[in-house]
Amino acid sequence: MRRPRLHAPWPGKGEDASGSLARFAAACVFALSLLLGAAPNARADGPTLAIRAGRILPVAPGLDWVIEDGVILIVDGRVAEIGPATSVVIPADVPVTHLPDATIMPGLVAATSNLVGPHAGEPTVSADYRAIDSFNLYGDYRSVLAAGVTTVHLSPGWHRLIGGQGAVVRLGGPAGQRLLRESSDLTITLGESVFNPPDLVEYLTRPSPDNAIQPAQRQRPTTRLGQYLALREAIAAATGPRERSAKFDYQAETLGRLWSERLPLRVQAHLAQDIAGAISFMAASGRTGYLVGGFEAGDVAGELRAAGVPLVYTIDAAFRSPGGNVGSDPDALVPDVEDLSALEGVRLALAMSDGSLGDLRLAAAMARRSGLSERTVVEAITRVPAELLGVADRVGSLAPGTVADILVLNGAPLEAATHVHRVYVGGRLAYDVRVRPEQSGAGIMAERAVVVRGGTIWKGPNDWLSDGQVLIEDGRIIAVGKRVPVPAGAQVIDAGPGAFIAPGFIDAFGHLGLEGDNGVLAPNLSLAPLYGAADVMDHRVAAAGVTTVVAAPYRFHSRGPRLTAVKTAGNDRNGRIVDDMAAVAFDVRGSDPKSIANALKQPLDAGKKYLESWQKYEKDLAEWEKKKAEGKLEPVEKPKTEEVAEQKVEEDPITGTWTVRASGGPIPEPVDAKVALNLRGTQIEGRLIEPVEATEFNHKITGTLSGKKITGTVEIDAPVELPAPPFWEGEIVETDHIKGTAGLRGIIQVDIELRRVDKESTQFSVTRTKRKTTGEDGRPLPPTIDENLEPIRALLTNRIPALVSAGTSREIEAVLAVLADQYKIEHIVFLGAEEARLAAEKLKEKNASVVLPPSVLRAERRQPYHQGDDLVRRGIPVAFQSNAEDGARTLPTVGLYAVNRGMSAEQVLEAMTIGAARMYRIDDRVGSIEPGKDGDLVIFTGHPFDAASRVQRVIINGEEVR
Amino acid sequence: MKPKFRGLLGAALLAAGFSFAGRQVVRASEPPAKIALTGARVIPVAGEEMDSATILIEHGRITAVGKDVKVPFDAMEIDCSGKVIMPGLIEPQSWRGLDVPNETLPVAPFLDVADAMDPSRLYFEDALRDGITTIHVIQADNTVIGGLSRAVRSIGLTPDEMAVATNIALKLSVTPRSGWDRMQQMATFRETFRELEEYIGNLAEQKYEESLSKQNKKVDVGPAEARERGRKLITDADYDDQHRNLMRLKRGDLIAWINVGAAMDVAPALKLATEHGFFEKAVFALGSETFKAIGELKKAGRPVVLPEDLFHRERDSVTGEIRETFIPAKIHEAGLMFALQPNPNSSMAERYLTYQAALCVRHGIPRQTALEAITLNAAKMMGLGDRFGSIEAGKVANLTVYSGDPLDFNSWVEQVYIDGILAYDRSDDPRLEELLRLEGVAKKADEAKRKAAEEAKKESAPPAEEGAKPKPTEEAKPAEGAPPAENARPRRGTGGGR
Repeated sequence: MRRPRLHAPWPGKGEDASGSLARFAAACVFALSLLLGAAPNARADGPTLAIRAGRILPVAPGLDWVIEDGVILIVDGRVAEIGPATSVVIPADVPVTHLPDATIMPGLVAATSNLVGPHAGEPTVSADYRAIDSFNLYGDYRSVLAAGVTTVHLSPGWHRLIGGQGAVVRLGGPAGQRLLRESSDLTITLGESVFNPPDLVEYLTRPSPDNAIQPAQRQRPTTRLGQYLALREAIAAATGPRERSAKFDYQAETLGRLWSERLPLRVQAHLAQDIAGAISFMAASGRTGYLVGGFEAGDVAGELRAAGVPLVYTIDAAFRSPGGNVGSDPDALVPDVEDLSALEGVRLALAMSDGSLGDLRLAAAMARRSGLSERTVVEAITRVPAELLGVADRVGSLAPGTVADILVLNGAPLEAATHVHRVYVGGRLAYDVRVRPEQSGAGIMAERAVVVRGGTIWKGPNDWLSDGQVLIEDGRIIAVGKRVPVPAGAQVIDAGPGAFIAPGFIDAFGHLGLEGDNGVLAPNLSLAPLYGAADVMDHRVAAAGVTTVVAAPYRFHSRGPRLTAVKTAGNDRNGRIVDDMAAVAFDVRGSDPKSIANALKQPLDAGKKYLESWQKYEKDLAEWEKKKAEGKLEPVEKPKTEEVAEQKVEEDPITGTWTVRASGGPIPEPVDAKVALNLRGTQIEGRLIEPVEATEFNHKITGTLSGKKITGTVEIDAPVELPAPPFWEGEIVETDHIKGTAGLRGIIQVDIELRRVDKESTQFSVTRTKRKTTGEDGRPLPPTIDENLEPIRALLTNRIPALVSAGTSREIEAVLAVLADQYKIEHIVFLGAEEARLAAEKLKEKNASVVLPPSVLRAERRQPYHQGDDLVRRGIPVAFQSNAEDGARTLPTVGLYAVNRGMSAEQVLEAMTIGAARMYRIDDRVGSIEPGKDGDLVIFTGHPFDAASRVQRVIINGEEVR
Repeated sequence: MKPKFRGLLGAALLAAGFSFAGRQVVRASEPPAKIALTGARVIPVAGEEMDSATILIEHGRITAVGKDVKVPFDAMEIDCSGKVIMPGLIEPQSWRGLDVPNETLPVAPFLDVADAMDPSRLYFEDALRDGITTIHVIQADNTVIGGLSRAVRSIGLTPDEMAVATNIALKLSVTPRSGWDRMQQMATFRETFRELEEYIGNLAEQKYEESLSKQNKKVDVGPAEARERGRKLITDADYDDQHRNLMRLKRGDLIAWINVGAAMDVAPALKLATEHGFFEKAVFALGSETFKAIGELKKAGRPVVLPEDLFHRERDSVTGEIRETFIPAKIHEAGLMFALQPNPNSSMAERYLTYQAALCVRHGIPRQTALEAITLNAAKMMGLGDRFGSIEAGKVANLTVYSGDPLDFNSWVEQVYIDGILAYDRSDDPRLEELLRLEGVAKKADEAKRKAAEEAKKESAPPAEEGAKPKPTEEAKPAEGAPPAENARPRRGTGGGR
């Protein structure tokens, strides 16, 4: 079925004998193909591809009305095969476009259009005026393609009795393939619009007594009766023998030729009497054809049926602005699609009365009001008009042999909210809704819009919406409801009536992306730089339905490191980070209450002092602004300064003993060594300590420290001359930890990892500076930001919670005493808190919540104990944690087990979504399906914690995770 | 040739005697029978460029070109060393010599541009100043079938005196005239040619009848046969004005100069030309977007005249992106012969043919092709390729002498020879002189202003050293007949300093 393609690789110069043989063979094939008159690629009219879609409506006789999950195989721009994905075999080298949410149908065929005409010719018989002459084969018709219309009839106009010849064209693809029929019909119009033909004036180039100027010649018809007379007269004049003395009349001659060729008639008429007249005229003259217009066709339906004349019913619909008033004119036409009910049994196509193309699909959809079935209406704008225009073998349906003019819709064809997403003409993508102006202007069009429809939407705890829809634009939920707006170009995901749509799950404590790094994270640093474009590990977690992870380092710094809430999918850091400072963490496990208090107080006090400096600044600023507003500001001569005695303790980052582990490169197994390094200024000097045998050689390690980067060399009195100078370079990735490479420049390179095992010295430096406290105009200046204390400041202002890892009830109580009582911290979350039940009253009193231990079930006095179930019963909010990296993917299963062991499915769902979000105060962005929140949805086949239910699709920030 | 030449000479003498309307560009001296232009770099367009070559002109025709040409003892030798000589430029189509661009009648093949030409138009003088020696004067595009065109020199006092060839082409426009649509335009074409057929049939029948009645016989055959027999009896004199030129067009006696303003017009134009037998004689004058139908144009392989603006700019209807296409590149890629025309609507350099050619070279078209596009190609399209467009022995001595390379924008036209007559000499161009003098006066005024401002500044500032005073520059003095200052900009409509 596919023609062989000549893609033989042409070997370049210097190929071996087999290359030239291949060249020879290819040349032979090529010559042969020329001999056979078929240069393989020269005949291809279009591309070869396959489109697989959720639903296909072929609108072709002999094929199913709907093919679910179907495939169209397009070869050289024509449909080669169409059928269910299970039965169509797609050749291996054919590219496949998979559109699982799309509905595909043939391009619409408009039996009327206003693309050309009416022509400017004056004769009432203007048979030689051809609509095709005015059609721009090279035109850009994407605005029409956007409405789904790929084939149109071009009309010479409604303004002359015999208006000329119509044509049928396609609106996309190369110019050479657009013409379907150059002369498809002889257009005759009956009714008022032709009753006012202009007088004909003949311009004489050389008037003379023999060749006199004639008065303007009146033309018929001017009345209804006259139109039939004029018509018969014209045909008689055109077909009868011409008298020699008669003036040469080119239009009449053309009419005669067309009449003898039996070109089909296209009779345009609206009133019942004109339609009836047209039917009898066609019968009397023995011509075939079809009627166009038919506002009053319902009144003569019987005649239409009896004569078997098809009708292109033109819909008069004012979509874009309300129509004008009809007033009291009793003769005014008020066409209504509801009249169509009378036309049962008449072969019917639908089109627009004004020839506009933009709203054809919607107008046709409206025609169902008269009781027409969806199928009849779809056929009336595709297959039927194609048949009437004589082009049904190529367009109007999708069957083997037709050209691949295809619409990709985001819903059922006759639904008002459905849009055209793509249009293929001859297999080429001719319109794509995603192609948009570079500067579409904020607020005019959403860049990315997704509408998810499903059986049940879980908006929040005990707030279920059945048969609902969610609109997400640019990653944010815009609307949730029974019917939401469907913007143009929106991807519509129809999850089906059984589906259950839940917010994405939150892992309340995980280590996503740490890759086993158990270093200590300083409070001034964040995990955010770890997260760029999502990788395979992140994807695994996302695909399980976990969309947000509160990421924490494995070990906590004593001064309270920050935790980062991060999305599990996305292409950039900005899109992935939900909150760079979601909580400040402390670990008090295994300490006695007194040392807990001391350990917590140290950072909190420093933070409090820092906070106070900010509060003072804010107060001063408010006062200053008040004064300024009142105009009571005193002129400032000199900005105020204050002495800042700052004792800066700076650790020497290098000096000490380091273990070195070299790996990678040519080394089969990691090699360990030990070095002693010394920092002076920025210069590093050092020597090897272990292995002892290596110290025999006279050597020296040198280097330079700039910022966190080290570059250096190694000088060795080696017994053999080295081929290249040895080097080492690295970076201080964190305190006491250097990662880098070493080797011989350009020859060998190994990875090295250094860890400091012994610090020999610490440098102290005291700096005293003068700092401005007011600006030039006396405005107070803000204090210097101390990143180390920013998390504590956020904690003390109750912006973020404290996450405290504690186990026993004594620990819990001690923590509550310090944080809640002493420092008035409102948001406290305990991690683990195995003995929480013993401190339940206290926890409840202080509004604290608990992130359950990773294993939800454990034995307590030889009885299975489910801490989550217990705490929920006691009214303490809980959340689930993975305490793992990509292990977070099993979190939903852990939840299912919790249901199995006593918690309700609703409670678990709450704990996994909005419950966890509230704990970390990120419930303004994630945790439920509400307008304004992030578009993180998981589509399940049933309730997420129903054992039979599985994840179908995951959407994060409005983008599907694939 | 002879009588015309004498007429021209007489006109030149007349011009000298009466200083006709202030136009003194036409030189009033009969050239010697033999002229030798020596020492210049010659760009013959047909053949290799030559350094310090000699061009020998005898009685207005080039008789020899080359490095080794011996200057006859009786020839007037003109030393052109340091100059560059190329064939006089040819404007492939222009209506600007006409009083109005078009007639109002849609089908008027009986017209002749000669009736509307005005030799006193400044346009012709400007053309000369810009190095154009031959102009194809033809009706503009607002027509269906227009009148006859003619090729003229840029000098002469009457349309006939100016003419180098008459009855060259008939103007046709596939792109609709204003107020018309394409349905009407094409229907008019079909009707006109069908009517022509009918007219010839009737004429033939009539002629046959006449021929029989002379022999006192009556028609003995049916009308079809009578028409067939009568056809041979028709002479050109039998046609009326309306039909004569159409018949000549169909016979191939006239070139069909077809305006194809849009890509969609290409296919109908080709069909028209093929159906009525003038395809082999067709020249297509393209519009801005016509190049989009390059496939069809390439297949046709007929010569084309490019639009005045060589760039096509189009805004994408969806993305709003502006795409720019350099039209000659597309045409050259398709291997079509093309001619360039100056852009009179541009006040910038596009109004010079040499600049249009230089623009082509800048966009990757070979220099030779670009040079042909402003000389030889237009001559070939008019069917005058054997007489004009290159410097070869036997051709008419229409030459333009440049001060440097013609495609260099710093060169200017020094002299123009038409039929071996020095038709233009820059050193004797009163209009240009006046223009440059005005430039000089303006410059002087500017200089004086600047000086005054500086003086005023000095007075307020502490006195500076004597030597610091600005010297009046050389350019400030307007020198009679001196070469223009480099930044002396030519003004629109008055010709340039090239």
